[in-house]
Amino acid sequence: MPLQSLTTSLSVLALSVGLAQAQDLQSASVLEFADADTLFVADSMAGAIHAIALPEAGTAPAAPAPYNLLDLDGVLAEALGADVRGFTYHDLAVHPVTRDAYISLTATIDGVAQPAVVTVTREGAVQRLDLSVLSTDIFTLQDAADDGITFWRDIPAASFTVTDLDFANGELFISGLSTGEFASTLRRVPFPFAGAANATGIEIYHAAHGQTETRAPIRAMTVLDLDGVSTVVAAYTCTPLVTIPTADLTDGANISGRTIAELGYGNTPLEVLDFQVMDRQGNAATYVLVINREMDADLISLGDLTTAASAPGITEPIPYLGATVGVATTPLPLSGVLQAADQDAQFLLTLRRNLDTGAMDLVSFRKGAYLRLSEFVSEYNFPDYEYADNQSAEGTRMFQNMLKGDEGFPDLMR
Amino acid sequence: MRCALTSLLLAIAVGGAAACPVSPTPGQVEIYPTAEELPANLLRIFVYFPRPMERTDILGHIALVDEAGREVEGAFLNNRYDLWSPDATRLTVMLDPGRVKTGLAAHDAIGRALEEGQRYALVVRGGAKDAQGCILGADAVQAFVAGPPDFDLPAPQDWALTRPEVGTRDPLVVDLGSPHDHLSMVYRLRVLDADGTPVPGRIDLGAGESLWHFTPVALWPDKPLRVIIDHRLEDLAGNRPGALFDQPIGTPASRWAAEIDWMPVQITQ
Repeated sequence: MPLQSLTTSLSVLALSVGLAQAQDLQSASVLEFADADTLFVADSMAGAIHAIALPEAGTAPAAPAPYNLLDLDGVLAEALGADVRGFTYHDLAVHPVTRDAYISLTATIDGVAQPAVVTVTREGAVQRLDLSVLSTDIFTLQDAADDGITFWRDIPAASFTVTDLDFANGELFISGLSTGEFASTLRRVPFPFAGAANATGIEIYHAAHGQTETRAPIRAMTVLDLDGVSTVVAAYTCTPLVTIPTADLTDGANISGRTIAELGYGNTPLEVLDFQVMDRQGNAATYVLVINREMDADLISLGDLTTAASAPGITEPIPYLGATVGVATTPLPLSGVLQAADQDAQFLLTLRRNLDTGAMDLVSFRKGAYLRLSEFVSEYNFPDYEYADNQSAEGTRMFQNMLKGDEGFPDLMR
Repeated sequence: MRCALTSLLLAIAVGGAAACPVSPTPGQVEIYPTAEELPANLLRIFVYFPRPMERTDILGHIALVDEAGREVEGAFLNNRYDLWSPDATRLTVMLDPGRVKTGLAAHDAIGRALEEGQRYALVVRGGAKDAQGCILGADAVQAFVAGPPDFDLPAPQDWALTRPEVGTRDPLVVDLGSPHDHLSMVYRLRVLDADGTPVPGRIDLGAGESLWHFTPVALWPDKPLRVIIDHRLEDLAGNRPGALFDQPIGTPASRWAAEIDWMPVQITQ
């Protein structure tokens, strides 16, 4: 049978934009702020992204201040009238002005599981957003034949379970997994929503698997500027880290991402975020943090990331199972952290599973320190411990006092 | 042509709430693929339910069982969200790719869920609940035998097309030679005219999703037509015309094939 090729792309599947209308969400999964007035909430069950018009924001806090809410489950259960053991947490975002926590979750109320987005202040005040009222614009992620062809049976559309969102330069980037075919597709759509999303197929070289992978979905990502190049930094299961210039994400294209690291096997990345930290000279330095479910978190400097993204990617299998290769990373002791967000100039905010109590905590980690001192018992804790009389020890004392203040123990300052 | 389902529906009433249907209706659950032999590296199974289902915990009601009736543990990918169609009537059950693919830790440690030559059944338990909280009421069981793993690229150049007669609505039949993914056959194959406009019509599948029937709405015209094949078309193991799903370790990186292939449709005068 003669077979010929066309260079154009067949588009029998269309993604549609829903009209603005109030609509209940079937799920509330990934959160992403467009700005102080608009929050994106992914409904992964329905294959849709809602733009939520937020009530007028309050004022910015006078100064960066940490969260120390242990046992968030208990706080939410009381506020929502929900089963304290019935929460499933999905995502965390921080309001760009008020710095309040926005958390998407599934709560069990009167025995019924229901999606919710709540705001939580540092003082533990909880408010539930009425999503059906506040939703103003819906972007529907559904693939359906729209070309007049019928089938022997009803073929429902396929949707897209969103794995991550990132808003950058007026566009929303959307990664996820199709509920029909198995495909790795990264979509971008301008906001306010208009027209269909550009959808790009992405393949990567996965050195830990020694093969090119075309289907595995991006699990977590962020979009940031690498030396003037707008770039998606994406993490996949098991755990390749990949860069993709956003200029390459054109509709219908199939492109190869650049594998810049293999962070380790047997792991699912939960979050990729970028943030700035002030160094001792007062200069802002940018870092990318990969939060992992099974492993330590990985911290990567912008400089190292930029260098790796402009160098040839990894194209050889890893030398042995468990080897990590590629861009330099610093492992951070953020065990139990399931979601993290850039809170303010001084803190990262996290949803952290407390390994002692099993509860979910909403706690901040000071940037640069990345630990909560009050959770360690060490030599410093003994009443008769004396800091040495030198500059180094004095620096340690002041640093520890700062963390004690952060974590609500000013009485322990010495 | 309606696909001949091999589902064996067991009428085991297991009760339900007062407002729920009293007795199960056989034939309501459809399971794809329908072929009696499926490759050991099968990637997906699709379950169509008669009504919208409760979206959570469905995998607790679905089992792969072997010939002795033992459940094959860890066969399916347990995603955070189950892969439902938006209307919650179709569930995509993905066999864990980590076990399907060669060279991965899960594959090397515990192997594929399906062993060549063994008989299996996919069981959808009657206790699965719909969106109203009513149980299905009867198990749906689809038996199959695991054949050799499929490491062949779909080969459109080997497909056979019938020659419909001009002025009729006889179906154009494409014989793909082996079962393919039913959603791919729905989404990735079209008949176009010379302008690139899809010819309106109806798609039916047959012979365990190895035959593609296209019945035009209008009579076959006396003008050039072609069948186009989107490169995302997959067989049951997720192989596409341009690349295997499972590229064995050491082979060069796969290359994207031309995005679309096409074949002329010969219409008999």
